[in-house]
Amino acid sequence: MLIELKNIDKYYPIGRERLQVLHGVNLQIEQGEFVGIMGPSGSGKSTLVNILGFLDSKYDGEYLFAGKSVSGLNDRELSHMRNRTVGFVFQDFHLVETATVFENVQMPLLYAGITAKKTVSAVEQALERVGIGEKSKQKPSQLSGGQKQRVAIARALINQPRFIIADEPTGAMDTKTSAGIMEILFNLNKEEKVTVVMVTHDFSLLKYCSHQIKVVDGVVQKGTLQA
Amino acid sequence: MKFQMLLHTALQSLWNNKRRTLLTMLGIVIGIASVIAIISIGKGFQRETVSNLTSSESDKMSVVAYFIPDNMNMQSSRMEPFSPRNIADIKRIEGVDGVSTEQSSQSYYTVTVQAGNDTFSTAADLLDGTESPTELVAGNHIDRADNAGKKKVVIIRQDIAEKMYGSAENAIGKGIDINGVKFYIKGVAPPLKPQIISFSLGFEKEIMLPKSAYQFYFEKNKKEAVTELTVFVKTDYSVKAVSDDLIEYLDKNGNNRQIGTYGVLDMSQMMQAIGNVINSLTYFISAIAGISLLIAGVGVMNMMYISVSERTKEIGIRRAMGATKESIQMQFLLEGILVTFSGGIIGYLFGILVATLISKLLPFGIYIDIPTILMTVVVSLLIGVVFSVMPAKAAAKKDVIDILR
Repeated sequence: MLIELKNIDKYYPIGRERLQVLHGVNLQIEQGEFVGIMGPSGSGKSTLVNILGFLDSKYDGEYLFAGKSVSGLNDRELSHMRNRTVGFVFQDFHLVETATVFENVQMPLLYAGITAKKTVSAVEQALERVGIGEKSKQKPSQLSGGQKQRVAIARALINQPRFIIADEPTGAMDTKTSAGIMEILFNLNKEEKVTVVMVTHDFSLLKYCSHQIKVVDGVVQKGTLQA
Repeated sequence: MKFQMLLHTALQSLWNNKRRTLLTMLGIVIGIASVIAIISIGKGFQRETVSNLTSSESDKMSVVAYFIPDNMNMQSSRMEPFSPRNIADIKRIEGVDGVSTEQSSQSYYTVTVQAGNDTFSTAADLLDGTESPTELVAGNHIDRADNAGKKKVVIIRQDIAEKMYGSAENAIGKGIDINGVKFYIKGVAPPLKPQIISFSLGFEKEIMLPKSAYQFYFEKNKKEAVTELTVFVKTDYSVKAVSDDLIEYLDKNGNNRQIGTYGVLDMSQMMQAIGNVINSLTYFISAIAGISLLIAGVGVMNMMYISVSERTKEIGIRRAMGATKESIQMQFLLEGILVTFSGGIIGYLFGILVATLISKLLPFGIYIDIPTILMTVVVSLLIGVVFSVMPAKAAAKKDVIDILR
């Protein structure tokens, strides 16, 4: 078992009140799965994904990663977990605009303590793999949406993480570009057994998913999703 | 992340905002430059002053012992504050290298002249007849024979001669009362030009008379008494200790201890005191200039806060990629320090340049020392740390989820 959530409750403070966004979430994800998380806006999908990706540690309940509890880790330990075990692909890419494509992909390796020289071949390989090897000197602003997302995927893969979180990775793309991105993610999952956790609104993407999770009003509903 | 990578990242983000970085740095440059210029000019002035004051002395440190009689009107000829026995004893005080009994050379002899109904005091030149002759309107110079014979002859100025006897020629051979003794006018010199400073040596005097006659008639009782002692101190002895021993000895055994007070003047202490005054003045002015550094520091802080808020998204991305809070804080801290440190170095060079240019207009050079350089480095680093630490902390504290939402 790669990921196991037990009775996760999450509250957001709103003024003096607090709004509960997750209600006793129980979740299991196996190594090698392609997980699709669906649900209406405001249902708590993003909150759930933030917890899974070690970005949010303020919740009640227990999070077991590869059998070990990660609840209550300090900032340094959580940063280490983010660096080594998870790769992020966001809807709006989240690339550093002032840095080149190469530097964006290189970043996780530098935070892992690897010297710049030793990162060069790994970064070039990752860029080749997502099909934008020739763009490494360019700034993100010179790329199209699909190309930016390829950079983000290369960056997510560079540290060989245990799983990738893709938060609506094709949300702002036309169907053709979207298909290209999904192809990359699907192949990674199929060929290299990378676990993918994808949040999406798009029912058409469910055909890629081996495990489907539906979130409604902060509650996880099991079963196969239908359009 | 390795430190050199943090440095690289910090440099890169400063480079991405070249104009803002340069403007912020300019504040630091001006602040440091003005402080450095003031300090190096001030130190140059201090050294110049002290070396001027000590240039007449030998390299040895010295203490001057003097005597002040209780009765100020007492004739100096009746005193002998430092007897030969005293001097011999002082030479044996521990740490004393030698004693100079050089007389305080009296540059100035006053006589009272009665010219007709007028009585006035004036400075007199004592001649021994070997001087090169000056211009005369009538009569003759004082020669060696006059000096040898202690002759009561005098050279006066034309204006006095005309007042007393109508003309310069008429005055020759006539009498004039000096200190109650009748002298004969041998020559008349042109009137004195108006002088601004009449004290200085080498200026012309109203009256000239033979040295021997002056000594014979007015100083006949005067012995050549030592009135001031310069005591040299061995280099490995404390001047203070020796001068304490010296005053203790003189208070107990000084020849004239009953009729006056002995005192010592520690020249080195005086020099030090003058140096200190100039030093504190320099630092005071520098502190005022330092206020501009404070303002520049606030500018750095402002820039850092803007930079942090502009790059909130970047912070979030870096945190998601595994950057720790410390790493983010260090990155922003380094940016601030880089700005102030390079500003400090440029400011130092600029300040030296300005001081050098100013010193071209001044009678002394500037002085550059290692502590000033170290101070620049420390101060600029300190400003960087002090004014960047809060923005850097603010950057590190940002909530990743809020940023990436």
